Amino acid sequence: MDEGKFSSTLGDLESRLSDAQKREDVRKGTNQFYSMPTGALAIAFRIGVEMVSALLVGVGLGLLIDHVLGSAPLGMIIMFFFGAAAALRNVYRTVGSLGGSSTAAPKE
Amino acid sequence: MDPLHQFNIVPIIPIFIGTGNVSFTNSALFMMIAVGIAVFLMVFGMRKRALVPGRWQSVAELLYEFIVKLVRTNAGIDARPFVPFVFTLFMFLLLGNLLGMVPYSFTFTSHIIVTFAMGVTVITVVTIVGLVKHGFHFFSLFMPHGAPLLLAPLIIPLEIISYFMRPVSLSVRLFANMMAGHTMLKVFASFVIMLGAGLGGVGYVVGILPIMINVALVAFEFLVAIIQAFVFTLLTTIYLRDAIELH
Repeated sequence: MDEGKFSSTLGDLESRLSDAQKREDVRKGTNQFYSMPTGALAIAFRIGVEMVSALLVGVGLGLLIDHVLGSAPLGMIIMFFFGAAAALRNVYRTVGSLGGSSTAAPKE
Repeated sequence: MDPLHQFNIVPIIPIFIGTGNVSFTNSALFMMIAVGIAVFLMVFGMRKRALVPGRWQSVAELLYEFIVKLVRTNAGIDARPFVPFVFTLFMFLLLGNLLGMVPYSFTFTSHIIVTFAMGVTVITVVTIVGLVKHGFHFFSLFMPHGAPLLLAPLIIPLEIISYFMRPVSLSVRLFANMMAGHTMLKVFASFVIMLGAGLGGVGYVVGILPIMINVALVAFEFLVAIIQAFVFTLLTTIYLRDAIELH
């Protein structure tokens, strides 16, 4: 086997290895080709939606608890604060997962 | 010239069962048109089953392969059985959003009850998948690894709220985007009429400006229609992965 042929087989092996690795990543779902839109407006909108919906769910759950237990307005008040906390935590998580900064929160 | 008039639900065939109003409305009509187009595109497109696809078959294959790839890359190979579910979801939303761009049509995705029903369906499916696959272990989703036990009474309600938040944020995102966009189109279009009626000849000249903005907005709305259908589908696959892998 001469030198040229040998190195070409090695290069071939390398490309085949990286192909296999890529397929394995795809199979496991470890590399994501698709991601959320990353425009400034899209991010702002996403964060806004996250805050509003967490608050909505918190208050909704609180009202439900009040309705079942008859504890109005205590359930709503407590769950409102939980909703606000969840909202802020979700924003923190979202911004952290955007990356780009050393203070980014670890991915969930 | 009410910009919200386009969102009115009009019964086409009134049907009342007892006190319940189950009329066939314009919303239902456009949902059926969306389903009809999707079925037609797939059945007609794949009719020939050619090895070298023609135009329609290419469209059908591209859409299908896009979703297969999306599911596989985001939810892993174990999520393969859910490709039909995700694909149906995507086609319905995409056609609903795009049908809304046809003049005089009705955008059913601009109603929060429609998008919320779809969001709840997604979360129900995801929760059932998680429960079937992991049993009671699924509830460890509500208590992240490594969190101190002392914080459990604080973290568990927060995680539960975050979980219930998913259908709400899914549906609010889609509905708000569609409704805001279509309202904006109508508002800018009505500026033209108002300028013309208010200022006469000068108004018609100045009215070119809102028309130019509207042209840009229509293009932007097409972008939003496709992106929001995609984002809804993307988040569905991410939630599916959460339920299947359960970190």
